[in-house]
Amino acid sequence: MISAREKAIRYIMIVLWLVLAVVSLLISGWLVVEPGAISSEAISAFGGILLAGVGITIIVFNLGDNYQPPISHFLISILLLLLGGVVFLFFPDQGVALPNLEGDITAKLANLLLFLLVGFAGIWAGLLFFRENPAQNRELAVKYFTWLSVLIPLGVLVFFVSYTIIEGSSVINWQFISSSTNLMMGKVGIFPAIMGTFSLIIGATVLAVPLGVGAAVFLTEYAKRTWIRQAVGVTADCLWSTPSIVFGLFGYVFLVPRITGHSTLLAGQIILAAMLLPLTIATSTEALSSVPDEFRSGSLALGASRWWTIRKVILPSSVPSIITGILLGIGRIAGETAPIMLIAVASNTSAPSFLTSSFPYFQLGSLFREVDALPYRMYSIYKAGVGGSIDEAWGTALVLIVLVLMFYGLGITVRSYYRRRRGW
Amino acid sequence: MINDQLKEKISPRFLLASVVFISFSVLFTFFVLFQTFNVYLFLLVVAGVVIGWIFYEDSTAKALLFAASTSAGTILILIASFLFIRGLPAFQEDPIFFIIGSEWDVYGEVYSLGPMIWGSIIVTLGATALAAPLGVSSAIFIGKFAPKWLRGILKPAIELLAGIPSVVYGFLGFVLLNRAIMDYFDISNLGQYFAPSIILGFMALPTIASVAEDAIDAVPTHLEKGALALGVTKWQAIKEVTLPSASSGITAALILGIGRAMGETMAVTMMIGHKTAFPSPLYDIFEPGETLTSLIASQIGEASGQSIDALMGAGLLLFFVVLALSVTSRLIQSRLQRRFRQG
Repeated sequence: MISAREKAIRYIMIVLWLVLAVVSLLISGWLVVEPGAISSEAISAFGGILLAGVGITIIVFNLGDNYQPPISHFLISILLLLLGGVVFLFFPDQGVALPNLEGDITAKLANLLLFLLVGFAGIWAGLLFFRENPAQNRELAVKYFTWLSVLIPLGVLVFFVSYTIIEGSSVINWQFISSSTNLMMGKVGIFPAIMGTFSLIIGATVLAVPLGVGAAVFLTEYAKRTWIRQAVGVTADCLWSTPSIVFGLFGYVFLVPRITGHSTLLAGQIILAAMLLPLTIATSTEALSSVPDEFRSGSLALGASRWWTIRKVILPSSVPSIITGILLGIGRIAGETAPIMLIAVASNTSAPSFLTSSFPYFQLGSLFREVDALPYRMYSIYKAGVGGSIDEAWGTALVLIVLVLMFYGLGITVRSYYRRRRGW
Repeated sequence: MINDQLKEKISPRFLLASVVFISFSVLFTFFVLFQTFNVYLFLLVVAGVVIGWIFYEDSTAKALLFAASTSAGTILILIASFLFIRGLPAFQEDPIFFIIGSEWDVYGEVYSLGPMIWGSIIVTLGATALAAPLGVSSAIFIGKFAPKWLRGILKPAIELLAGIPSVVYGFLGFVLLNRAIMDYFDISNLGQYFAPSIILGFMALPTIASVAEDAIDAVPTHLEKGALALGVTKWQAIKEVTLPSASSGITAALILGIGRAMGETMAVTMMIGHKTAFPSPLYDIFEPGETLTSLIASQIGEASGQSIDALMGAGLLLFFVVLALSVTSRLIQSRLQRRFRQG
């Protein structure tokens, strides 16, 4: 049932839209006759308001009765509203809201905010006004607005990733990935940076994982008092939230003079391990304490020692969750620039190599030399001025994003796979 | 009799453990204090551990695990003490001028952090203004409104937002956002406070969203169900029951998000414009500026002598502010957990 009031409002809106449609037809006709009579800014501002209006109207019409509008209608109207905002935004000189402050930065910002505010207030009012039970309307409104607030960051994520893919995919080819830069031959390649990043990650993992998992085992299996757990938890938290540039500074004053006095791969590995450690401790502790106590008591009852129980029962049953945590952590440190910038990297170095053709077939010399790394490569392109080598930067960004997302995707897949398979 | 007890205590296991412990302590102390690494002591420690593993596997494992559990604390103490030792000289001469003075001039050798602290505050406030409402309301949607299958998609998707490296955020922001803002607002400078605070907002959002969601999740459902049984709508139950109970957890999330935004380095460094002076007027967010993190990142490479001291002072300040924020957040969280465990 539609009430008389709602009917009246719908009629008014329909009339309003007819007027607007006639006006826009007239304008376009006038433009055909006399080009340039109206500034393009005015037209686009008008268009922006028109689109936003359509958005608001869809909502109003959908909420007229007790019919629950599908979420897609809401999304379409929001899209139109935003589209209107974008059209409006590109030609901001027509200050609709605050026309007297044209050209002033604050006024433009205020214009933009006012426009968004008016639009959202319109939707809100539409949602609240046209339903019989205001409390239910409010719930619906809140539901859609919180949904929208998840979509905004996800939209940003999708936009950033797809923009990088579009810009970067034209740069990437086999030669870009598999060779090093050779300015004499006009070649650009990021092979050393890829190898450098992998050496940093592998070194950090080798150092951090035994320590982190060991700490977690001690906390869950041996430490009897809760304050020990809390103390380690707090220190791991503090370490986790320590700014990455502070890790860099620490490496610069502590590690560099103690290793060789200049930047080395080893220093970078150690600092990244220190950044990976707290996350490994946290996720492994969680994984180990989720192992049911029956596993422990069952093994102990059979006469196994505590250490034997840990090795043969507890660790194997929590390996998937531990691996998930480590993979997510690696995804996090693979892109870190600030900590390694001062202590491990230099641009245009050759790829680190640990294998030799003669006995003993490996060498550790590369540990004590500088490396190149993907995130640092991006930063050095920025520092040298983006203009000349922006293609290289997009290509590097794409490789870096793919690498990081690969670790994240792998971690999330392992987690969801084992969560489904796990028996407890 | 006393002799017998002593004999029992000084077992080979005890001797081995003390040899390993003492030699490791000496090795570590010399490494930290005198910058020397004694290979023979290191080999002694390794040999001791191997012998212990062969003869007393259980207790050696326990000892090694205990050592591992002290690693995080050791690193934190090392970071704090080295920053303290190296950063303190900058504060010693004139601490008040160093913190609130308005000049940072490398050539004139005048160092004060006022503009950078102000810049950090502006950028962090801007980022929080964006991330706090979006983050908390996404947490409400994911925790309360989303169906289960959607939740399984949205949570990792928000996690991915935190996974994009900050240097990529900085590059994208510099190429896309800085230029767009410059064109839109007709300003002459590329870098300003405004652009990085938007990007930082999106970088801090996942932290806020996931911690706030945990807090909302931790509220026992029987509270909300009780309210629903009285006939209120779901949103009324969330607003009147769940959110007030989760409020301290949400506060913890916001504090953690603020700490993340304040410590973020590369994105800010690439977008801010590097001008080590106060903006005029003070609230002008479209001027180029500098924050504590971007100051360190952009100047440490070329720094020497006195300016290294000043940068270390900046690092010390940053470290302790962020540390205080994260400890506060942790305390609030653990108090919340305790309350719900008892109730």
